[in-house]
Amino acid sequence: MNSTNRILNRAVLLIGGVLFAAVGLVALLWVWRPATVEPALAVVERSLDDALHGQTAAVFGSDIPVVLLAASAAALILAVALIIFVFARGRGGVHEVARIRADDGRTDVDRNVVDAVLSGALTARPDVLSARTGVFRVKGVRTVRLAVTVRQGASLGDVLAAAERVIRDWDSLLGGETPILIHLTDRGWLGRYRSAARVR
Amino acid sequence: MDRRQQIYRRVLRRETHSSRSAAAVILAALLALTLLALLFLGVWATADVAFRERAAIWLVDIVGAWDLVSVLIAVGILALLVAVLLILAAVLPGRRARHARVTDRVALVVDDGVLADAAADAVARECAIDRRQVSTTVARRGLTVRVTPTSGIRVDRDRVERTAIAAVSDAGFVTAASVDVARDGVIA
Repeated sequence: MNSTNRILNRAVLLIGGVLFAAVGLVALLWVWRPATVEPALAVVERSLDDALHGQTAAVFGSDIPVVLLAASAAALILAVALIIFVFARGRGGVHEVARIRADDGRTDVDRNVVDAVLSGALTARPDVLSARTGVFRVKGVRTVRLAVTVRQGASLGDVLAAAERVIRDWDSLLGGETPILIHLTDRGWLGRYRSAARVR
Repeated sequence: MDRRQQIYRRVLRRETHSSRSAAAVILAALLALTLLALLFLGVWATADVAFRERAAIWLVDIVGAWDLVSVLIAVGILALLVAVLLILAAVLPGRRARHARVTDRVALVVDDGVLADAAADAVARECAIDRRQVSTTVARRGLTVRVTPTSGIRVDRDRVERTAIAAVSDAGFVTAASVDVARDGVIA
């Protein structure tokens, strides 16, 4: 539900895949069909040699080819771009579930409020193992994700009816309708060992 | 289509398909680390002549000690395998095992495992057999129920089918069921 750019994810994977494929093909062709690779490698080697013996600049008292400096700068920029890419994943979560403006000010409703109203009511049910909420901005609108893990043997219809009831309570409390996604999630491997009944 | 329906459509699309973030983050982090390590070594080698000479000797020793042909074959095959995995991850839709629908008020996503559990629980209750004697698999187009009956007690295939379908439709999903009853029962 976050705002991660998924096309960019796939573009990075595709570019990585093409790079790995090129490396793999060159390595295997070098062994099995050297005649097909060697002319190309000779051209690369010659151009690299020309570049490395071209214009130089003094760095730390050594003469470094300008081409090498440019390649290092490009590598640094690429590394920084990749780090930014890594830290830009999973964004889109917001702290306020609603922002109500009035003539005399503004009221922000924290996401803990929606969590207390929705998750609190559902977690108290014996057929629900856990419930948690998250608030995300989707197409510019604050949208609530309500993830519910049901106990083994629970009637999904009953749990969904209960979830819709607490959502109606939330709507009347807020005075409007927030888009809400209900996600009934698997219990996971640990949940398989939990009891099918809750003892109070 | 109103604004809320547009939001639900987008949300359901994203919830039922893999984001590929984990794979992309791992690849990007590895590439960034490799680039930074190479840059660090390059700067060190430029600033420290002794390190440069030691590194050159070490590299010559390593290359001399390895069988270059075997290394190239291993690297080539490994790189091609990784390439295939990455390209498939980039191109395939990455559909998650989930069912989704929109109600009057909310968007709903249910993991297939939850539907399968609900169907299996309902069938076990209806047939009065142990839950471990029922296994269900939910796929996009239908669900499969496998029942191992208790020895001497007949299991009605139609009843199993009706019960499984009812359990899934309890969550609002319409599906077809195929039932497989084991020929040999177990002692419960």
